[in-house]
Amino acid sequence: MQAAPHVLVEGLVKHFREGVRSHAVIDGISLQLRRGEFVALVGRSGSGKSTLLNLLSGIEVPDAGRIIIDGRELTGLSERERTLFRRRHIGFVFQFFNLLPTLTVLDNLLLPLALNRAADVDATQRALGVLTELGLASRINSYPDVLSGGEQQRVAIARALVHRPALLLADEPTGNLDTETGAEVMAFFQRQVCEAGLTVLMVTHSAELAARADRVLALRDSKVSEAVS
Amino acid sequence: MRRARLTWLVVLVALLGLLYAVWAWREVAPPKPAGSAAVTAVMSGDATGFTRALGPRAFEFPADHGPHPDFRQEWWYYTGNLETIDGRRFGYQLTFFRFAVTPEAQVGASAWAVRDVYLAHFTLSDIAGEDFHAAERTSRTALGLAGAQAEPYAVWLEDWHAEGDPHSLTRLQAHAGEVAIELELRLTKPLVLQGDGGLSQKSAAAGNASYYYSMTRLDTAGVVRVGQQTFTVRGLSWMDREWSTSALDKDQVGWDWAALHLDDGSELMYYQLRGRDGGVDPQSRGVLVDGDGGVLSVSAEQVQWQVLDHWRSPRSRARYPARWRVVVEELGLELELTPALADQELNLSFRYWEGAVTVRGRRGARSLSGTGYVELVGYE
Amino acid sequence: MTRLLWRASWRHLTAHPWQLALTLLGVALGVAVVVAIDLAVSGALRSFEWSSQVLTGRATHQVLGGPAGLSEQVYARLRLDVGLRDSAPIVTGEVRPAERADITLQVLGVDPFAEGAFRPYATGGGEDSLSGLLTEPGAMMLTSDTAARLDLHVGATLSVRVAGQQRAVILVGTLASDELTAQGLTDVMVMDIAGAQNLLGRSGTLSRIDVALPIGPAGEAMAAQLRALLPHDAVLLPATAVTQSLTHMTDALRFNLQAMSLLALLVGMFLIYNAAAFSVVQRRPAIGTLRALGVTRGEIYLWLVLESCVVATLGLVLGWLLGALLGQGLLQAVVNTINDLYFSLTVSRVALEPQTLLKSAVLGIGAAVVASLRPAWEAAASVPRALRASSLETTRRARLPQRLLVGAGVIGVGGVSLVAPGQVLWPALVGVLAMVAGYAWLVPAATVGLMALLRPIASVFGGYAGRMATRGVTTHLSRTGVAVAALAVAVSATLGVGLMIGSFRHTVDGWLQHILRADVYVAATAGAGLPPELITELRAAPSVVAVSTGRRIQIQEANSRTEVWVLDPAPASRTGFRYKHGDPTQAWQAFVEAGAALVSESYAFRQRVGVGDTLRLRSDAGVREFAVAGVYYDYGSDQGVVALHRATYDRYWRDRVVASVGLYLEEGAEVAATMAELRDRVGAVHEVVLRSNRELRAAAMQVFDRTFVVTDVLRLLAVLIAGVGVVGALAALQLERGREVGVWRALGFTAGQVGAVVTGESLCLGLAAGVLAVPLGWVLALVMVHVIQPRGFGWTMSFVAEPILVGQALALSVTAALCAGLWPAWRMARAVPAAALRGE
Repeated sequence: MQAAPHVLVEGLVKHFREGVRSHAVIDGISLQLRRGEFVALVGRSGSGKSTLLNLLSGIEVPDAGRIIIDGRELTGLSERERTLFRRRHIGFVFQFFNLLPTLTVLDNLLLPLALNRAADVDATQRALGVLTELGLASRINSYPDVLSGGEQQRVAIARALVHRPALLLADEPTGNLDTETGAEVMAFFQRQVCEAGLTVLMVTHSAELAARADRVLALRDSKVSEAVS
Repeated sequence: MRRARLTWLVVLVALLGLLYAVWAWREVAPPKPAGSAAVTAVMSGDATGFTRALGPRAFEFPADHGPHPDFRQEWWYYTGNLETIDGRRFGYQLTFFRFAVTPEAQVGASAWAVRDVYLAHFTLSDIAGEDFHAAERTSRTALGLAGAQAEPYAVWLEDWHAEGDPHSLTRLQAHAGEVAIELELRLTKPLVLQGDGGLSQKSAAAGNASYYYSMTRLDTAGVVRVGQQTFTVRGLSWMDREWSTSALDKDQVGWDWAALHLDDGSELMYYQLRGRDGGVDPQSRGVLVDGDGGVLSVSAEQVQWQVLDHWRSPRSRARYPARWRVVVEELGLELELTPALADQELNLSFRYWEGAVTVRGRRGARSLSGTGYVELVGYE
Repeated sequence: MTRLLWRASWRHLTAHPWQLALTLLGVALGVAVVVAIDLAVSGALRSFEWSSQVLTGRATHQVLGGPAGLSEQVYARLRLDVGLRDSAPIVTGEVRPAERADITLQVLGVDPFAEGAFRPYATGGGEDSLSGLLTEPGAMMLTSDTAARLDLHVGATLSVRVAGQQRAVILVGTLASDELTAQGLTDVMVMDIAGAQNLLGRSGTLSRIDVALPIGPAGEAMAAQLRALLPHDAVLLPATAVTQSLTHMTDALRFNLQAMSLLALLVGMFLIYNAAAFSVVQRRPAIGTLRALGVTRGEIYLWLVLESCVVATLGLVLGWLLGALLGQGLLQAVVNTINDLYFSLTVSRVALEPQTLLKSAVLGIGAAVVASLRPAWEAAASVPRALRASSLETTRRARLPQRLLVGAGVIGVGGVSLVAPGQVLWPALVGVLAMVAGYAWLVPAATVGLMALLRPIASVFGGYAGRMATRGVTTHLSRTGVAVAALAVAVSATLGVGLMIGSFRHTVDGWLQHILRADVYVAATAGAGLPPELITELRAAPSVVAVSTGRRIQIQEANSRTEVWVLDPAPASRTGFRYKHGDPTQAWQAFVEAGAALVSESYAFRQRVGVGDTLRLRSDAGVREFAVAGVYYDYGSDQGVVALHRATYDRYWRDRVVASVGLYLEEGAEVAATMAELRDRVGAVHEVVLRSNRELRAAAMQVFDRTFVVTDVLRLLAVLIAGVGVVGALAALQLERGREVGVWRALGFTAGQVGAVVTGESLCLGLAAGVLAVPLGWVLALVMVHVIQPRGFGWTMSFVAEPILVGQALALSVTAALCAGLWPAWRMARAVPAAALRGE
């Protein structure tokens, strides 16, 4: 029973210009993610992991190849269409949390919902629910800069999930946290993902984290290979 | 790439700034003074509309001591040699010129309208002090600042005066800087009408002539001031009166003039008009006035005018004759003229040399001495 | 080590060219305004002084006469009796070419024979032109530039208007002089003294006699001797007296304009501060690393301050160029103002003087150094570890209470300086600047408060964009605070000056309504008096019930110039005077019957005289004393006016000229019809100007408005500079928040939404600045009306606020901020999010 893959990538190529020369960061990658699959992506620094995430989210455009998510061919969309697709279907977790300093914790959470025009009452309910779950109910009106790193990343994860995307892209979500906090956050992350049944592609350096994934892909010499799990 | 472009931009801006600063500096350079042209402008006026000296005239005195506005130019020319009782010698010149700027005065209510302009030169040759003082004044006649009149006789330019009765006593007064004169001049011989009954032809062309008379011997007494010192002096003066509309010909470049008081009681005056070619105009002439007032006319052919020496002015670089031998064979006259001071050049609105000279020589067997004035015009 | 630091600077500056450009622009604009004002004002005056110097020539003294002129016999006496050789008679006047009303020619009538020593150019035109000058009627000479401007060649005739009549003058030659002298002779028409007297109708009188006396005790002795010989109506003054007292008149104007230009520089300082602070924030990691590597605090500090210096120097050069251009542009406005208010002056060209360059260099580089001290200190003082910008923001916001105290303190000092008693202007201006600076210091704190107030409203109308915008202003206070302060200061200056001018205008209008009592005014055309028979005729005209006559003269003394208003009042004239001091009835009675003077408020202020004092005026009968019977309100001249009754004046002066007549019509008379009738009666015979009360008032108000043109330009310039500051602040924000914007985009913000947030921030900045500008502007206006004007000009004014100006200020602030925000918003919206995100 092989359903259509949630994410289908074929022959993806991305070049970067360095002065007059350009070199391929990603050179003919093809991969598939099944719906609900938790996949880790490992590779050396500069191997193109973050670029791959940016391509998948439509932030960047490939030079060649196709990206199909949920049957929509991302590569055929305009910038605006890609933005609208991203805000609806994709969640993003960054290494440096990247909460908006100009918004309160609650507003940070509400932002994706607002962007998706979810009914206000509904959205607030849901956001409050998530925050309570995070143990941050008392800090909803705080600004991010007063939260600890772990708290910030938990809010960031919640923000990535609150509008119920089908695909979650995470770029070293614990990379900027100490081991203990990292483990805590990771546990929270996995719990959320499992509950929502999301497809996840998580970039990580940590073998330990990678081990928690259903599958590990390695990015090496601009190619993707299935790593031994 | 971008760095290079930026560097150029910075350099360009700096250069522009520098250029502007230089330009701004240039703007504040100090002004330069320029010379006055007022006098030369007046002297080079047009002769049309003025009367010319075409024939002899009947002189009328005292009217002819006053101005002759129908003629373009006119002068009252006093020169003389003076001496203190202990023999300190001075020479002086006080000259009033009248130049008409236009035959008709400007109309209008203003009193300043110019018709005649007066110019005066005053010099004092301090022979012992080896110093020569020269000053000039100019003025229009407005407000009585300058003028001349026959009755009572007066010629003045501000506070330089000649006044009195020319036939008896004339008073001269002038000062400039640290020198001054106050003199009384007494006429001792009758007036001498120069040339042809007072018509003095200066070149062949009709009308290039002046009316000219002289007072050849004026006993002079008075004071000379130099700085803080006042000298009581006596001596002899010569006075020339001349008016004309045009005198010199285009080909004439200047003249030499001499008026000498000789110790035998006679006076010799001679002028020669010099041509562009260096030759002497046949119209040049002179006069010998005997002690009793007898007048003898002297023509150019009769006079040998020999230059013995030259002097170059350190100011104008002009080269003037500086010593002469004058021989009139018919009269048995043989004289040597030596400038009392080498430098008696007037470097004023117009430049000429006019100064006191010492005379030595003889007439026949009798040796002579005397003093005089020589004028040298048109030397380069 | 140092070389490495400099290389790092170079790399940093060239890698952020826009930022560099904004810093340069901050310095350049500030310097440009200072240079431009200096160039226009001082340049105009220097040019006037130079021109006066050229016209005065070598004269050390001048003999001046009374209002009726100086008898030329005085000159004859000097020459003939005193024997004063170094003296020259001068007749001056003004004429206008019939076809060129925009040009005023200054007639300089000279005697070329007395001239040579004084003004070589006057007799240096060549022999032909000089004899032409002496003999041709109406002969004159101009510089070749002026001749070209009038399209005249030698021999051509020019038709000029003089004292209401048309006369012909003929160009007989051009004035030969060097270029610089020629500049001083722009629009000077040299004539022979006879021609000048004839043209100006002044035969018998001179304008002055120029005298050259030796310098030192000998000269002083001669001056004393001369004074003793001069008749009562003549006075011997130093040659510079007239020029000096004329230029002194403009002191207050000059001072005010310079203060305005300093304000522009202050606003420019905010820009520099902002840029310096930002470049430090940007380089915090690098600076942290340097510190970690062992570079000392002192070295970092010096490095950053010197870097500012170098950048400022480049900006300075740019500012000179801009200022030179701007100054040329402002010149005509300044010249117009001086012409309207003080004396007539022609300026063809001005040059940047070394002292202007020096002054602006000191101010520009000084401002840059002062503005960079604090950011440099912050950078140097930071612990040697790469810190994030947000921590700086936190400390900055944490420091707000401390700022409040400092700001309030500075305002307090300014206030004390303002209310401190005294008549000197500069402490008041220092006080104003201190208040402005102190207020600016408070602006960031106030901005935080305002944003908190604004957030609910913004979130209602703008949703997330609104909320993010208001919060963004607060979050990035280190950027935005300075921009808001700059804009608020600029806008408050605009508002304050606007309110002040409004009050002034109101006051002047009220005064004009009061003092102009007659229904119709008849004035002689410039430079002439009204013929007595005309006055008789006007008195007899139907429906005229009363007549007042007026004449204004200037009395020149060694150090001052006094304007005397000679008034032969009509019965109703009496009510035109409103008194500041003195009993109206007694004052009027003393004025009419006892030969007392009434003085204007500014005269009383400047000369420190009051009711009961006496003042001394040089009359034709020598110096005379006049009792001061009253001090009345007058806004016609900031130098002040002494009003004398015609009878009093006629007693001591020979001048009988009447320059204007006020006609009082019988009740119910139709003004327009009467004027038409009067024009028919007198217009054919006499050239006069007839104006109704309303027309005269309108003309006066027009002059009033024209004098504020320069001020208006300066106000706009200050707002422009502040606008650049907002561009800078928002552009800096954009660079600083690249990652944040990347996140927005990652979260699904469209480019348009990003732009909306940034525009929202601009709007908030503009609103904050506008709102904060209102109280400051209001206070500034109050200070100007109640402190600066009385101290600078001796004028009492009432403060009349026009509410629309407040609305205008808000609109201006918001518009400026929105315009300034366009480009940063556009750039931020267009930024590639991936690049920003990769910035890690």
